[in-house]
Amino acid sequence: MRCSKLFGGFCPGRENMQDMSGYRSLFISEMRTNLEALEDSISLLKGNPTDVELINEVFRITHTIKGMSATMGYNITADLAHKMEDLMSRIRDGEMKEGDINLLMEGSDMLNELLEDIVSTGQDISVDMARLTRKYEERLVRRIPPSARKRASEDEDAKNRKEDEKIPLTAIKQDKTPLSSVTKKGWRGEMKTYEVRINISDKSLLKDVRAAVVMEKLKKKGVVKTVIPSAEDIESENFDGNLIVLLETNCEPLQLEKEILSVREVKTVSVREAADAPKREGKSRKKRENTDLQSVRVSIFRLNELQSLIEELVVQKGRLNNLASSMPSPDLNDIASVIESIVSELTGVALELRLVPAEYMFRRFQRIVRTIAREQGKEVNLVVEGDNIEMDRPVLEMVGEAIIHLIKNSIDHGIEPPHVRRDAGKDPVGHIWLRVARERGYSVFIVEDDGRGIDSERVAEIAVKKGIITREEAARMSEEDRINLIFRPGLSTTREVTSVSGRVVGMDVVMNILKRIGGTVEIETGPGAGTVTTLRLPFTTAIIEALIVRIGRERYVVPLQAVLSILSVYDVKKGGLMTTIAGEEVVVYKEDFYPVLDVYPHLSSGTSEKKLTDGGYLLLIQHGRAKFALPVDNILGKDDMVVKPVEPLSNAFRTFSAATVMGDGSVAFVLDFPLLMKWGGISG
Amino acid sequence: MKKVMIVDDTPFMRAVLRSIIEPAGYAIVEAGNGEEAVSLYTEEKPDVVTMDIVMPEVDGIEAARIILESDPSAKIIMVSAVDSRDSLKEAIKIGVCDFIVKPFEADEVLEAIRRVLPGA
Repeated sequence: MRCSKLFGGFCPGRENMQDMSGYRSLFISEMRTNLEALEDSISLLKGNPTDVELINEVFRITHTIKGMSATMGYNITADLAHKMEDLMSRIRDGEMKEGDINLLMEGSDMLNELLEDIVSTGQDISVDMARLTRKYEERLVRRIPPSARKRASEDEDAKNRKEDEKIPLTAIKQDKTPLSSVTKKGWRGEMKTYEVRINISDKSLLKDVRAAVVMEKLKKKGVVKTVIPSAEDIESENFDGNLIVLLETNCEPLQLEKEILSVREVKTVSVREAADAPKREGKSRKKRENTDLQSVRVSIFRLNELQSLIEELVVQKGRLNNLASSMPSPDLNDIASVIESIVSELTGVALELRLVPAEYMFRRFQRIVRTIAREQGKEVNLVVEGDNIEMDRPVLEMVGEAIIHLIKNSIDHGIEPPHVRRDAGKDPVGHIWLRVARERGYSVFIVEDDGRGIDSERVAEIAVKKGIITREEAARMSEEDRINLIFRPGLSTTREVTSVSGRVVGMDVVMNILKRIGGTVEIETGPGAGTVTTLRLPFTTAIIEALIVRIGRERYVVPLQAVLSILSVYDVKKGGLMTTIAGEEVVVYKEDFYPVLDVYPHLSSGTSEKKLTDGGYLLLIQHGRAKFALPVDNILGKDDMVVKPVEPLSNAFRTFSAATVMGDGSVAFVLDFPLLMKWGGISG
Repeated sequence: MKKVMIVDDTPFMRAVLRSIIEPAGYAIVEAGNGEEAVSLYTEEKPDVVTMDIVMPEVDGIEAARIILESDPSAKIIMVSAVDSRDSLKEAIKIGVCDFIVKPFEADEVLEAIRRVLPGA
């Protein structure tokens, strides 16, 4: 039973009188919304510690959280939120002191942990609160001047009593009242605060000046409260074209959007009621979304369902094409080609639906960095760039785990303690940059730190000590291969419970997943030089454009995104593009070298010689940084394909990591570039 | 027909702009310096002005300021080099509508003009 004292007389239906569990999922999702808003507001408050609006906003959110948690009977959570609320009311009375923001951040992090605890165990009791509770208590006692204490605490008590009495109502029932009045007043032109996000086109030569044009436009529409990045950052040339403006205005959002879009070189604009808008409560956001006729919420399960139906459709479309080409019926061919184009459009639309801004995954990273850094007594600043870029959700989810590992590694092993950094003449605060970008057919994630870098000698030493490689192997290894040892199972810190997901996943496992969907990992590092890790993944895992090729008697599928060029062997020979370097055949094309992979014996089932017959082709392929030429006997076509990872259970499939169903119903394997490169003796 | 005033002290630049703007169906007025721009503006009442920044004596910013003082609804597009950041920002504070960076493309110029015209 989870009814608390505060729960009072409120009953959400007689049969549920003793059981709040039916409200748990609603509670969890509302808490998430509130905790996100809290985190955002606290970080804004850090930059504007005297902003009354923000102070009120944080106060309001902690109050809401207190009420919600108490209603659910999560008293530890409610108690912390109450303390934070107390602190906020001190701050509101002008008692802001150094360290307050940190205390709030720690509180906010702790609330997140408590919520995760609730999510996984159903209770909020396994988190160690003692230290933080003590901090808050010391703080809240000490900060009241003795003379004022009596009066203040009386006021406080009175206020708390009053508010506590209201809590169940505030949390659940009262929301409706302010809500409808806000909306209605909004229509009559009441001032509201909006968060306006503007993206200036990359084509813009003077993004900062363009930003100034936008700002002038906004100033005419209302009062600009906050601009991120700051004016100075915009002045400096590393402004990336993304502006977030808090604007108080009586303009309608759509009107505002239109106005800003009328500025040249503005690529996208979004206007939504801001987190610190007056009278906003957890639920008003939901209401607003309902009134926004431009978008609807769709459960991810439905999207997945849609996706699998489309995948099925793609396979059937392949069959239809096959049938059509084997029958001399013009009608059938017509239908097949119409269906072809509809399916390909549908595929695109379905992919768009699954896109979410990278921010969706990256929000929690700031918190993770703070938590880990604090545990280790380090100071680390995480800078995220490009988090508004839209990505395929499954890719983001997969890469999220990998990035957490990388960030954690950076803090654990890369970033030095503050005194070490200071002695080395570095900024005592370490930095981690997380950059996101989209490249032709790929999503790219770069994690960079300014820590001590990876010492390849040491990595090799540890690997030898742990019996992962022999001393002889280590001696033969290149610098790069030694560093790549960190992805080997069992090297060091890989098997840990991540504090975020609570799942046990090793770095090696994560990297294997990435590789299996065609991703690559590259590390650049050196002692003292920081570490840059680049993850490159196919933009979507679901459906790829692929070339179907024949090698010997076998058919294979090559992801088109990896193919830079297709050259006929005849042209290559005639054009003198082929040369021999150190006994290896190499294609020289547009000032790049592509060693010809001698993988024929592995792929052709039977035929043993690499055949560069005039009728054949060379596919110029880029995988990660590696480039090579793959000889094939024929190119059979190009198609959209549903690619599924092959679970490495069966020995027969062991060499290929993915497969697809062809139009005629047979299975074809997707060429696995790392494996080809291994066979061909090229290092990744 | 809408009227565009091209302000630039370089005849070449005026010719380039004219060759882009005129065929798109606009009447053209040219001014060779800031002072001329100010007096021509009151006479001709152009719908849009393209204004060079760096000009001798009365420069583009000053001319824009004077024009905007007499007619706050004037539609002025600054034309500038990439290194005139600060001047451009100043111009934007004064109230010019848009800016084009040299070297520009024909489409950019026409789009800028279309966008500042009322009802566009």
